[in-house]
Amino acid sequence: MRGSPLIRALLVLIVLAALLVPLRRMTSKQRPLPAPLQNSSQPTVPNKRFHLELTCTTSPFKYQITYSGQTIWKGYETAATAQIDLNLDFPPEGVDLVMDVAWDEKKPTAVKLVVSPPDDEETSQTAWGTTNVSEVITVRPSK
Amino acid sequence: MRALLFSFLCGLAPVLSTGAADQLRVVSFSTVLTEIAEQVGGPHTKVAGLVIAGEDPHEYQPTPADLDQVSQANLVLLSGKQIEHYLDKIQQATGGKVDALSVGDQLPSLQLPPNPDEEKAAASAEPNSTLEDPHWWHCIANVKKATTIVTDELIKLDPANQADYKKSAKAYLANLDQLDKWVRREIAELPRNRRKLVTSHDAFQYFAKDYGFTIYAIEGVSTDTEPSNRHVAELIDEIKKQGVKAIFLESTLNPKVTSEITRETGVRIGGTLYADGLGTGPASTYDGMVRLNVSTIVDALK
Repeated sequence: MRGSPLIRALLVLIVLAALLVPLRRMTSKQRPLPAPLQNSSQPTVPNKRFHLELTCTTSPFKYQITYSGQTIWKGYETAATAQIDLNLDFPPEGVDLVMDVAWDEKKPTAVKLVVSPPDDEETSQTAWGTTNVSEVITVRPSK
Repeated sequence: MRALLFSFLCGLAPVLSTGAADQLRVVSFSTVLTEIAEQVGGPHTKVAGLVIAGEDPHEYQPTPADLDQVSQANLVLLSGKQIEHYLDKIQQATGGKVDALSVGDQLPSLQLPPNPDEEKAAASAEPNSTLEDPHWWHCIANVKKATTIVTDELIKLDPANQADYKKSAKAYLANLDQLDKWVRREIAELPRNRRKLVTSHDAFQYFAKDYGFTIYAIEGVSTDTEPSNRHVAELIDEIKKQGVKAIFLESTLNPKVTSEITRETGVRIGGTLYADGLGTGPASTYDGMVRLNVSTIVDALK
């Protein structure tokens, strides 16, 4: 290649400058898709303390209570009743608790779960089984 | 061994003695009712499902061959609640001689406000008028009642085999009870404030009522109208406001508008639901269809 080195250097600079814009477009971060919806105006879910009481007419029995797929209370009870106080998120739509109770002796048995919110009416559900019961209990705010 | 052979032959006897000529000919216009009639009727019935699995019952039109089958049937099962817009053709085909049982009309109805996009509804809409939701099979209690209605009708037409009909119905109803228990457990995993369901058309109101969901539908109760731009814009606003996690396609509908909404809102597609009756593969039974729908919804909204 002939010609002045200065002109050659200038040509190289012009080519590099022309490539700069498309190169930047190709290597910069893509424009993100609309963000998944997180509405800041949505109210936070109130958390309340509940009293749970589980009664089984056959003992001993083992039990498990789940809330939104998470175990919140489980154990093995030799008496007829087990109870606990615990905190739960309590949205205005209410909550579903899944109650699983099983006992060794094969006989008709009634199981009752009573859920008492601190400043609201209690909700209870009774289920019958011969070796186990599995029920969903829905607790809704009355006000 | 002889006793075993005797019991085997005794068990086989009802099946062998029920020739094609003795069978009740049942024609069904609902995939769910087809299954009920087959399950309860067993070898005593020959069931022809004219609306087949995966077909949109809102769009179905009976062919001359279908009407010919209707005219020869002992019992015609209709889904009811005005989904069979071709009812006059069926009545003409039967000449009023065939027992046409509109099962859905004997079940409790959900009344919905008319969708302004639905031309027919808008034309006849008076203030405070409502539309009857025809998708009653999304309530398991309704399917149990439908089973009892179909069983009673089969017994009325064929009292000699009532013991078999009652036994089969009892087994089918027990399965439905188990199914309802399973659904309640699965849905309990989903917090109640996340039970917001955006669907292609308004087919899940019975399901929503039973399991505590709110429905945001792109189309109305029928699939024969396109949603207006205004309705889609309002829906996009509502999806954003409610913080909906996913929206759902339907097996029998074009996903074009649904895809547009996901682009605008950034919400993902949660999967495909069977809204208008049984489908194919795992959704080819009522039990399978419900389990597939519930698993899709819970997995997407959890």
